[in-house]
Amino acid sequence: MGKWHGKFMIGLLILALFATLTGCGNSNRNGVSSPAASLAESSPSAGASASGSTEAAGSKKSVELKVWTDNPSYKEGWDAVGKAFTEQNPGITVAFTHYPSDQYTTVLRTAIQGGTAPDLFRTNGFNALGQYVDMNAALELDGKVDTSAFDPSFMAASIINGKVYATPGFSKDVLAVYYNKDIFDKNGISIPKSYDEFLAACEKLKAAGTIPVAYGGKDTVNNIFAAYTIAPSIVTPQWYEDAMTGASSFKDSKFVKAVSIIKELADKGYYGKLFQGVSFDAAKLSFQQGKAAMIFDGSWDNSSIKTAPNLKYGAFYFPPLKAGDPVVGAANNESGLTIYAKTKAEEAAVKFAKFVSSPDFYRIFDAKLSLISPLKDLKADDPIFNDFNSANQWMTFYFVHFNKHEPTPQTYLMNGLQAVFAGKKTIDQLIDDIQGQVDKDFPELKK
Amino acid sequence: MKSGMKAQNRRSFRTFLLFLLPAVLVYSMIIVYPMLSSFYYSLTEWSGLGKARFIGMNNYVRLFTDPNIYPVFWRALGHNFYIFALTLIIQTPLALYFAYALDRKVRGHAIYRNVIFFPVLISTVTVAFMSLIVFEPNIGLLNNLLDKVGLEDWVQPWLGMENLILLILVLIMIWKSIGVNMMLYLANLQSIPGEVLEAAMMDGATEFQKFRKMIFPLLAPSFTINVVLTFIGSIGTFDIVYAIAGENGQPNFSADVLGTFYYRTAFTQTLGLQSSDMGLATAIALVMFFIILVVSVIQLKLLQKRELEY
Repeated sequence: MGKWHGKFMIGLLILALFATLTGCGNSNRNGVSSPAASLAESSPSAGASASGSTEAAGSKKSVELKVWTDNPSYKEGWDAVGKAFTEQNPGITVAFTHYPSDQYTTVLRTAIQGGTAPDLFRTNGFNALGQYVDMNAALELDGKVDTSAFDPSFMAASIINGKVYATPGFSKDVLAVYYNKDIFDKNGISIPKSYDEFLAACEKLKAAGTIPVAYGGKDTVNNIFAAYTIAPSIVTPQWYEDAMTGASSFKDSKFVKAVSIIKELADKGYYGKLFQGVSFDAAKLSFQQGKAAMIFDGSWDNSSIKTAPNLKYGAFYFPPLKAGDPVVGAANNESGLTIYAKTKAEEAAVKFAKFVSSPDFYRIFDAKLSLISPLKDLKADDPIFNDFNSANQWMTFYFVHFNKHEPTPQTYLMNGLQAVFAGKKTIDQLIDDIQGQVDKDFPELKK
Repeated sequence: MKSGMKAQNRRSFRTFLLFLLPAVLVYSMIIVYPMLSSFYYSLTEWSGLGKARFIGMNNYVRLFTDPNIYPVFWRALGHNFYIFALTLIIQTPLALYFAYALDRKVRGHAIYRNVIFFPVLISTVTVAFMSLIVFEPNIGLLNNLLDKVGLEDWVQPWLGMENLILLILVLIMIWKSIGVNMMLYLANLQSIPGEVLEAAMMDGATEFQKFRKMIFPLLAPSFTINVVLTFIGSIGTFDIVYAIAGENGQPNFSADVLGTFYYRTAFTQTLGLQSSDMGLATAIALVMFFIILVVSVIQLKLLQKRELEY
C-alpha cells in the first residue's frame, strides 16, 4: 500500500498545485477574456455591429455610438439623455454600457489595449484621464466642444497639459454632513457655526442616547469621506493652493488639526462604541432609521438616503474652528466623457460630446438623478440643494490631485486612520506617511 | 505474423493518440499555456496595457528588496502561515472527533453527517455575507446574543479588530470546510479492518488505548492529506478574505494575505487611477506557487514516514 499510496499522494498534490497556478494564470488573463464576454452580455448592440460602424439604411446612414460609464445607478439618466439626443440628431443612436466602478478601469484599459474601446468613455479626470492621454487614446476636444459656460476650477479635471480631453463633469459632487432634522429639533440643536458648537451638539446627542455621527469604521471609505468633509473649513482653500505649488504641505498644522478632529470625535465616543466594526452600509442604515443623528456622505448618495420612509433630513458643511470664518464646501471635480482617439465615428461622437456639455444635458440628467448641476442657473426641486449650495467657498477633494501611484496619499489616509483608531499609529505617523508619498511622487514640490 | 501484430499495435497506438489529442489541446490551451505565460509575464514590466517589457529577474529582486514591497509581502506571508497554523490546531481535533463519533455510529449520525457537511455546499461569498451579518456590531446575531444572555461586556466590533480578524476568518473557513476534512478521516476510519480492532479488544485494550495506540496511527494517511490540503488552502486563500475584509485586508491590512496582495498589485485602482503592476503580481503568484510546492513536498515526505501498514 505504501508505495502506490505515496505516488497517489504526489499525483494528487501536483493536480492541486496545477489548479492553484492556473487559478493565478486565469486571473491574469481575466482582464483579456472577461470584458469581451461581459460586453456581449450587457451591450445591446454587441455582435450587431463594430464600434461606430455605419449601416446603410435606405439613403440615410445610421450610426450607433457606444458609450461606457462606470456608474450603473445613473442608467436612468443616461437612457433619457440618449433618447433626447437621438430626437435632436436623427440617425445617431447611443448604446450605453454601465460597468460597476470597481471593474471599470480594468475593462476599459483592456479594451483600449485590444483596440475595442467604445467611441466615448468616462473617466475621473486628472491623472486618471492623463494616463489615457499618455496612451494616445483620448481625442483632443479644444475647438470641438464649447466649455466656456463652466467655472475654470470645475473644468480642471478635464484638462491635461493645458488641453481639453473630456467634457465637463456630469454634476457637482459634494461631501457634507447629512443631519436628521427631527432629532436636531427634539434636542434643541441648530446647525453648528463653529467646531465647538459641533462638539456641544454631539455631547447633547450622546447624552440623549443617540449616536451623534454614524460612522462605518470597518470600511476604509468612510475615513476618506470624513477627511474630505471635515477638512475644508479647517484648512481653507488657500492651503490647498499652496500645497499644490509646494508652498505648504500635509504637515501644515491646519491639516494636522483636521485629521485630529476625526480621531477626537472617535475618542469622545461620538461615532458610537462599536463603530470600528460597522460597515459603511450599516452606518448609512442607522442614519436612515433615525438611530444616528448625522453622517458624512456625498450628494451622490442623496437618492438612496431619500428612500427611507419618514426621514426628514438636511445637510450642512462642517463648520470652521471659529464662528464667522468662511464655511468651505468640499466639491469634487471629475471629468465627463472622453472620445476614443481611434473612433470610426468621430463626427457623431463630437456631436454627442457637444450635447453632454450643453445645458439641455444637465437639465435632463441632473434632474432625473437629483444631482447638483455645475451650471449656476439650473436649480432642482429637492430642498437639499439649497443646503448643498450653502458654502461660502469651495474646495476640491484635495487628495485627488496627489493620487499618482499606489499607495497614494489617499490610500495611506484610508487605511492609516483605522490604525489610528486602534491606537496603533499616531496622527503624526499617519501624516508622515502621507507627506512621504507626496514627496516621492511630486519631488518638484519639495524645496 | 509478428510484424503484422506490431503494425496493428502501432496503428492502434496512433488511434489512441488521436483520441487523446483534443483533450491534450484543450488542456495545453487553458492550463499549460497560462502557466508558461505567467512565468514569462513575471519577467516583464507590464501594466496590463501596452507592450510588456522584458526586465529579467527584476520583479523578483523588487519583491525581496524594495522597501515599499517586501514588508507587505512578508506580512502577508506571515498571515498565511498564521492562518495555516490556526486552522490546523483548531480543525484537526474537531474533524477527527466528528469522524470518530460518526464512525462509532452515535445516535442520529446520519443527520450529524449531513449537518456538518452542509456548509461545504454553500458558496464562499454567501458564507461571507452570512458572517458579515452575524458579526455586525449593532444588529448582528453575535452581539445581540451576548447582550441577551447578560454578557454585555463581551460585545465587540468584531470585524474591525486588528488582533481578532484573522481568528474570526479562520473560524469561518473551518465552519465552511470542516465537512471535507471530516469525510477524509471518516473514509480512512472505515477502511481500518474490524478484525484488527477486535483482536485488540480481546487483548483487553480500553477504548482510549484502542484509539491512541491503533486507530490514530492508522489514520496517518488521511492526516497527511489533510495537512497538505489545509496548507495549500491557507497559502492560496483569497475569496473569503476579500469578501469580508476587502482587498486591503481591513482593518489596516491586519488580514492582508498573499492573495489580496496579489490582487491589489494586479488590479488596484483608486478613483479610476489604475496602477496595476502585472509583472510584479505574476511574480508574487509564482512565489506563492513555489512556496506551496516546496513546503507540501517536505510535508508529504515527513508525514508519510510515519504512515503505518497493517
